[in-house]
Amino acid sequence: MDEKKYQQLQQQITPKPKYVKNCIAAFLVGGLICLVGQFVALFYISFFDFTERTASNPTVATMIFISMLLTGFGYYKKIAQVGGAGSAVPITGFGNAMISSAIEHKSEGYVLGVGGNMFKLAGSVILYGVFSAFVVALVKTILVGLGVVSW
Amino acid sequence: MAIRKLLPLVFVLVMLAGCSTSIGFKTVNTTDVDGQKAEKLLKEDQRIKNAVVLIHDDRLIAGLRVNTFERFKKRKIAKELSKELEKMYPEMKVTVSADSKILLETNKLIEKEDEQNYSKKMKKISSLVKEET
Repeated sequence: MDEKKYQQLQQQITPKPKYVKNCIAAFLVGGLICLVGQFVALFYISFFDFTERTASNPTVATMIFISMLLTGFGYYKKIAQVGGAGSAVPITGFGNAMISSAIEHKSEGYVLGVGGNMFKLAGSVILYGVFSAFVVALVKTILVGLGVVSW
Repeated sequence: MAIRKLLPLVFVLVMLAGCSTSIGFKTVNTTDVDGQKAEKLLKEDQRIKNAVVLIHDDRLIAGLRVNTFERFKKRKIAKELSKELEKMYPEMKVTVSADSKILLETNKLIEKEDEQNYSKKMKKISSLVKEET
């Protein structure tokens, strides 16, 4: 069988991804994670001295911690199967990426296995997150300097 | 099986019921100045959903909750209203914020009716507004 025929056959057999259904599921799961985050933020605002601005730090930490626990117990995998990008895009996806690679490399030892590979997946998130933040901050600084927007 | 089908519905209803807690517009004034002016200003502003105003000694604190789509501009709204209230009450230290914490704490303070602690607590609420991450 030549390459073209093989590709045609492969396209015929491969089931078509259900884009609409996947988008709705991602929207709902992502939204639900954000709703939980909102409740956590509200908890910090109501019961501690955090304002809406300062509450974001402990909220992010709590959400990462929860997702790490859920990954450890194997529940996050089930959520990700339903939600797809909806579970990967929020900050909880970061916790999941860290812990899942740590679990995966546990057999290679704690230092070179877990320690060396824990940030393998999360490293790209950190790198591009920091880089995007730098670019956005640079753009905003320039716009503030030009007087287009205020801080 | 019927209970299983009903559970998501109950969950959604409970969630939505939580959103309906409305404080409305509330003004508490322990001074001789006219507090109605501040309440009128906030009530007439279409961007504001709820507002709690506490006027005590030389301080005025206004906690606001803006409409959903105005949230993007809530700092600007608070700044604008703060300027207007400062004009209305030039002799007072005015604190206006659209932060939920300020609204909740001011409302809590009013509901406690602990007038002796107003000054101390109001100072604390004002300092919260200045907090940065």
